[in-house]
Amino acid sequence: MNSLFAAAAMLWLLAAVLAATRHLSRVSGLALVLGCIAAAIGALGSLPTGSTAALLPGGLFGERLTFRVSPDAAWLFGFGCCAAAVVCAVSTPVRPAFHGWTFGAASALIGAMGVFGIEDGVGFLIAWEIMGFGGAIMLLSERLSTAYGQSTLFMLALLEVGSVALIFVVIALGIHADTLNFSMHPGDGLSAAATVALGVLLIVGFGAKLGLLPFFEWFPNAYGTGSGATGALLSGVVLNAAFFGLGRGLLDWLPAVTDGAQTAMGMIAVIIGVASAVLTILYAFQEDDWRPLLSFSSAENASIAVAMLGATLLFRGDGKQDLAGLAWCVALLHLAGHSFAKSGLFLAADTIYRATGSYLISHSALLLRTPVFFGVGALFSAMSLAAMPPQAGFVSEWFVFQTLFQGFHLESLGGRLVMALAGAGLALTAAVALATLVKVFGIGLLGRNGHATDRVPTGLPWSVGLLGLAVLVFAAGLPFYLDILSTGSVAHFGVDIPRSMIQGLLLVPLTAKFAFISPTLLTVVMPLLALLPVALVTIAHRRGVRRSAVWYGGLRHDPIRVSTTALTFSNAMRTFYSFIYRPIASTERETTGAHYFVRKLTFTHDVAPIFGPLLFGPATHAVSSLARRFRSLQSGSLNFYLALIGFLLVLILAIALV
Amino acid sequence: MSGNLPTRLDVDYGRCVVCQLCTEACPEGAMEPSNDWAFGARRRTDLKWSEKGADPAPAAQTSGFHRSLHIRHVDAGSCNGCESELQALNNPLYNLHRLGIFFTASPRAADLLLVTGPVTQAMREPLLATYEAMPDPRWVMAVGTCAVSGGVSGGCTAAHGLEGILPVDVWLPGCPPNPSAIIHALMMFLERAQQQVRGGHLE
Repeated sequence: MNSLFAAAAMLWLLAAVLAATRHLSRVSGLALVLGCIAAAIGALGSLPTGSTAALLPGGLFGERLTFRVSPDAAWLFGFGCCAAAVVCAVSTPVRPAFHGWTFGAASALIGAMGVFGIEDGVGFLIAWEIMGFGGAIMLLSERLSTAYGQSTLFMLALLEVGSVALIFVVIALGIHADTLNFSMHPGDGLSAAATVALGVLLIVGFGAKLGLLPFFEWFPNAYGTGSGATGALLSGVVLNAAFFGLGRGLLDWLPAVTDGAQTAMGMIAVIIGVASAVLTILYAFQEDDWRPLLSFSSAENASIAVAMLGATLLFRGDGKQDLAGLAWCVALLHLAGHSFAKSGLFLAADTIYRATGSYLISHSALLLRTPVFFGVGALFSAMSLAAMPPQAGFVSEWFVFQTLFQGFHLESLGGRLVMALAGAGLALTAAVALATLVKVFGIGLLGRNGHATDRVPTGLPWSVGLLGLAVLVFAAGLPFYLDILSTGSVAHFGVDIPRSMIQGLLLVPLTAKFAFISPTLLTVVMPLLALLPVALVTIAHRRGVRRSAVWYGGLRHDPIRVSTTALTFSNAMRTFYSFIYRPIASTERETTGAHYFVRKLTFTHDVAPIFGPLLFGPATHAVSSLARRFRSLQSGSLNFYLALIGFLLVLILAIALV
Repeated sequence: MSGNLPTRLDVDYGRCVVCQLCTEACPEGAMEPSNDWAFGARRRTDLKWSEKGADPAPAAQTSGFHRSLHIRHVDAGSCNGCESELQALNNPLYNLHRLGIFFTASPRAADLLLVTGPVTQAMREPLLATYEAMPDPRWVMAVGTCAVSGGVSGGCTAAHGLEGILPVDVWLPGCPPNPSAIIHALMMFLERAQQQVRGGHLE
């Protein structure tokens, strides 16, 4: 399978070179897609064992770089690349940005492959930076927002904060293990305090990309700068890579047995994960643009996976390897299904953009002009993100709660309490996520009062349908192939958990005595529920139901004016949770001079970010203040510069003499 | 009566605006002022005085409706006298809510359409639209002499009340009917009170 990974890397490199030189657009696009297909086949084909270790040409700091895709990496990378192949096939909807976008996508994918496979600390950091760089290039090439520079800069600034944290971790572990090859538990022997400190740094480092608090605040504006295709790649394969990095760091890099440190790290991860999930989904619900909403949703789903990672640590800290393995599998399940569903909705957003010229969640009447396959695909994707059966999101979130319910097995009161509260927090998250996806699908796609004017390219709707179908197939097929994670489970926890999660066509949380579901059977049975509305329609038809026109409060029929908008849908929550949102609304009236005759009315509304004014604002202010103080060094006075040079020369001379 | 005048006098409480002129004009003392107010009736004919008394045919019932009653009120050209009385229903004295009867803002949630005013030409269409917007089962109550027969404002607006426009279930004349009369009519509709006027005779 390593040859397929090599082929993928070469194809992506070819795509990047052709895109950079602005030649052979079709070939570069094709190379990008073929690279994704090769990587997907390579990754999924390497399961259940993962790929064999391969030495990369060259080395860093005197050590050869080893490339090996472990089972969990293969799972996340493989499914991420499946979705990425579809996304790359339709590419960016901003045609002038095609070359830049292709270059960025190729860079991000190459970087992601490095993150998944390179076992060397420094090599991993380089791959991490390339991945981030690729994402920024995609956003900057599309420039779908006027504030694209500021948004991307803010994203890069926060990602660099994370990178600095990761550099600290790599240096500390490298010094401790006396090697930069982190394939064999480099953190063994670390003290509990050092383990927790490095664990927190890992959460900061990867959390910047995953959208854990407070870093999720770069998501809406940065995603709002790019297209849905960019969002799909960032929320698919890139997000998976970041999660894999965090999982590898916490489970493999840090010591497996440390008194209390695992439990402490687990609690921290669960608390941060759940708090991030609640906050991000609350903010997602208030967005009226497809991309920021879906970006917040990505952060929410990543946070749920991080909470599961925390549960893994908590259970492992208690010596309950089977439950730890369950939580680990659930996290992987969740993100794999999320890749398909989120890519599907991001491409649905691109379809809206191509049809209406805007990403706003408003009535587009698009379902009337697109193939049924598009609506079904978007519906399946939305159902999955809303955790509705029988889709992938339902299966994974069902497992999330089943895992949290097992928290009563924990010995420490703190652990049990954290797991119980996590269950409550994630229940709120699931409820708001359902409302959020109802808003997206109900208003953005089912809304019929708008007018989609532009022609939609045929490829986009079909790609959405394909991804939606993939969500369903992924869920329905789980009883048949979930055991491909067995080897990974045994390697991490010494027990084969995935096989214990399957009983025939049922999926169970280790035992069928507690609970069970079957997405396969649900897929077969649930269409029968369609008989209910059919029966209702038939009965209504026979009984001669009187139909009256829609009531507009006694006013003239005006479906457009009275239709539910993104704001009216979410305004109740905005009012109820105003202590979090701190909503802002302003109305400006432009008159002809006479007060009564309003010529133009401008209404603006927004919700205030949490960490912007509390954390990022003061940090920006501090940097600006520091810059102002240092500005005197750039006084423009030649004599002052000469004095500085002279001072430096004297200093160098003094050092040399000493 | 003699000459060209009709030989018999018709008395229709559905057209009475309580001006008391009849009591002043009556030479025989047959027409006298009274304090009667419970004139709610299920049939329009029960408001017309008849020597034979009540019509033996059974009146339409609202059997089966024993839930809280939600009313949508439409002012179909009223002088607002009736509205003034309706307004009083929700004050602490009459406190209509205690009886499980509520006014609702939308016909979608209403059981009973309460109409005041003679149904002017301008209000005819909105009234019909409101009735159309109500879910089944639905009922109609004409409140005030204007809604029953057109009243004093009927002539100039060419409007003669609800007759022939909507199927009325309860007729309540009065100019205006006082809050107690409205409550009695509503309770009668809910079969929690007896109708008191039959064939123009008060029982």
